[in-house]
Amino acid sequence: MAPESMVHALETIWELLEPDGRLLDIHPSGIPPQIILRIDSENHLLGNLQESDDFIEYSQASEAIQASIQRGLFQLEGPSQFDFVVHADTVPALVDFLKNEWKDAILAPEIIAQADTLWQQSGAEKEIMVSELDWMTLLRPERK
Amino acid sequence: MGSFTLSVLAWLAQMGLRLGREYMPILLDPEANETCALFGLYPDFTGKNVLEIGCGDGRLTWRYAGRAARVSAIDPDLARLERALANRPAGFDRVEFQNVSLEDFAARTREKFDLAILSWSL
Repeated sequence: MAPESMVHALETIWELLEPDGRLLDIHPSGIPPQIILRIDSENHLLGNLQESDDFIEYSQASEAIQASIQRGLFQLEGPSQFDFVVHADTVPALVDFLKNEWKDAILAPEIIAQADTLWQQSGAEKEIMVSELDWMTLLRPERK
Repeated sequence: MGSFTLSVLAWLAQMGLRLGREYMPILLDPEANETCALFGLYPDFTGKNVLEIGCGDGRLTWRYAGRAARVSAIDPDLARLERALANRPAGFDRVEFQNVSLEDFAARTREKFDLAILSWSL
């Protein structure tokens, strides 16, 4: 969605809200998510996931929220953040998931190779994870 | 709701179950960090009329809908809505899904909402 379209969407939502309603926006921070391999209780940071558009739409979403506040549409009530973690029980399962559900994700071949090598090590419990930092913002519509 | 609509919904639900099996080795936010942040910022859904924009497969919807009075969940992606329907827990009739964009939804509704959630869709 283009930045101006994002602001327009926020205007549309403003019209759909009760006077004392709230808007809650959730979107990724745009910080490249970490790829972590866990073997038993030990975590191995393998690198970061990239996106084909270099995460540009997430910074645009943050800018659109700021623009809606500056234009007097919304007032910021509360920012929050959380780690959204995807757990996969095999490396191919994660690759398959990213291919089908996270279409602009780029998992570097070196990371996959490193994960495969570590996976051969001993250890009873193994999983591979993608950990993404996300923003959550609560906004109150301004009524003039 | 007509019988044809119900039949279509049942078919969509079955399709979604099949699609859902493909991702059995994947768990999304089993720590419920997203829900904790949600209820931290907006603790009381009691009696609220909620609009979720970009509900996708209903992953977040099913985590809060039990606390709300009513949820309208919209998404322009039919395949994801099919999965949302397939994953509907029993007793969650208060959630209505619509395969529609925000613009089209806004043009046709006269409803006002207590809370709008933009779930990864701005």
